[in-house]
Parts: sequence; C-alpha cells; structure tokens
Amino acid sequence: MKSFEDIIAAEKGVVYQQANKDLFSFYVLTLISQERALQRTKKKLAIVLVLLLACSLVLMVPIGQLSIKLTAYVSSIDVMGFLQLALISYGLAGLGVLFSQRIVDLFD
Amino acid sequence: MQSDGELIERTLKGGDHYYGILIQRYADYVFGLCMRLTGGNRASAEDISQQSFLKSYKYLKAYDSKQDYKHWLTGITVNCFKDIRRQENRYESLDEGAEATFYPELHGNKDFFLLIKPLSAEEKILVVLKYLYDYQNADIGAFLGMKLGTVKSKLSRALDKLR
Repeated sequence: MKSFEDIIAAEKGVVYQQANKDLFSFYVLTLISQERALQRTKKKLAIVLVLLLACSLVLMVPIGQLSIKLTAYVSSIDVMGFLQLALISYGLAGLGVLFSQRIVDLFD
Repeated sequence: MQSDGELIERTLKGGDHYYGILIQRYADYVFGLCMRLTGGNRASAEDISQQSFLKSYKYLKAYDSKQDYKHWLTGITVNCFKDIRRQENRYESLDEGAEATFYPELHGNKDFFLLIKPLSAEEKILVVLKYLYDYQNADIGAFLGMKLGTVKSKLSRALDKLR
C-alpha cells in the first residue's frame, strides 16, 4: 500500500490540460458578452419603465386646470411695475459704481 | 510577452480579447486545481473552471495589481468549488433516498482521488492547497476566510482521516 507522501508526490507530477484552450476561452468570452448584453437590456428596460411611469403620471394630472391657474398667475404679474423697479435698481447700482470710482480717483 | 497586470489593465479599458489571453494562460492551472478538488471529475472540473474565470472577470475591478493574479485566481477558484459543492449538497438533500444513476468517470491519478474521497469539500481544499500547491496556512486562511488556528486544526483533522 502506498504511503500518503508517495501518493502526494505522484500527484504533484501529474499535469492536467484543458481539452481545447481556444474553444474554452472563446466560450467564456461569449458568456461574458452575453451577460453584459443582458445587463444592458435590463438597464434599458428600467429606463423605459421609468419614462412610461413619468408619462402616465403627466397624463393623469389635470393639465387643463393647471394651465388656467398658470395663466391667471402670469397675467396677475405687474410687468410695468417690475420693469420700473428693475430700471431704478440698475440706475442706482450704476451711480454707486461711478461714485466709488470717483472716490478712488480722489485718493490716487 | 505581456504581464498579467498589463492584460488586466487593457481588459478593464474595454479590450475583452486581452482577457482571452489571460484565460488561455491560466486555463490549465485552474483546470488542474479543479480536477484535484473534484477528485478527477472532468465535467465538474470544466464547469468550475468556467465559473472561476467568469467570476474573476466580474470582480476584475477589485483586483489589486500588487497581488499575484494566479494567487488571486486560486482564491476565486476554491470559493467557486465551495459554492458549487454547497449547491449540489442542497439538491442531494432534496433527492435523499433516490438511487444514483450516474457515476462520473475519474481521469488522472486514481490513487490520489481515492485518498481524498472521504474528505469534505473544505478539507479537500485545505489538503490540495497545502500539500500539492505548497500554500502557507495564512494564505489558505485568507482564501477561505478562516483564522490561522482554524486552518491548522482542520488540516490536522483531515490528515487524521487520511492516515
């Protein structure tokens, strides 16, 4: 009967070879690309699902009422008052800049 | 010849065919390890080799280039073997009592395969890595997520079974 050490020594000398390395690597790479394609498809499906949900949500919202409210809000804004206020603010800011430049010139 | 690190770097940049070179480089090594772990079951060894390379590709981003790729791949392979064996055991427990209709043909050194037959999957990994591939106990522990003391005690228990 062979000893443990003899069997281990004999096994160490055995060389195992993959039957067809080219075919094996090709097959593994095919499985990898297949897996990646599956992941990509899943991602696309998820995006489509989210878009569909978003679209259906938009369609379910009462758009007519919303647009009426929006129009009412826009028409309530005092455009002339807003423009006057903007003009005064920019004028004052310009005067301030000019004034500060004068002071700098005086000190120089 | 390109180093393993270069091939991995190029694979990560999108060149899958570089991974093909790595597969060809280590196909025999992984297959040999699987043959020893499965006790000469060629079909099972081919299956585990394939799973190991797939898993290695999946986790390639996590590979530390300071580490030896062969060493890293060995860890992946033994864990693949463990996972597959665990799944098989689950099915076997469902099939309890049914008569076996298929016995795989053993290829290679039958003395060795008969020797390790009574060992559990984990014990087989320990014996194969320690005595055939001369791995240190610390490395084996890192592969299997075991403490050094556990590796030593399990190895000695496995040796008792063998002797």
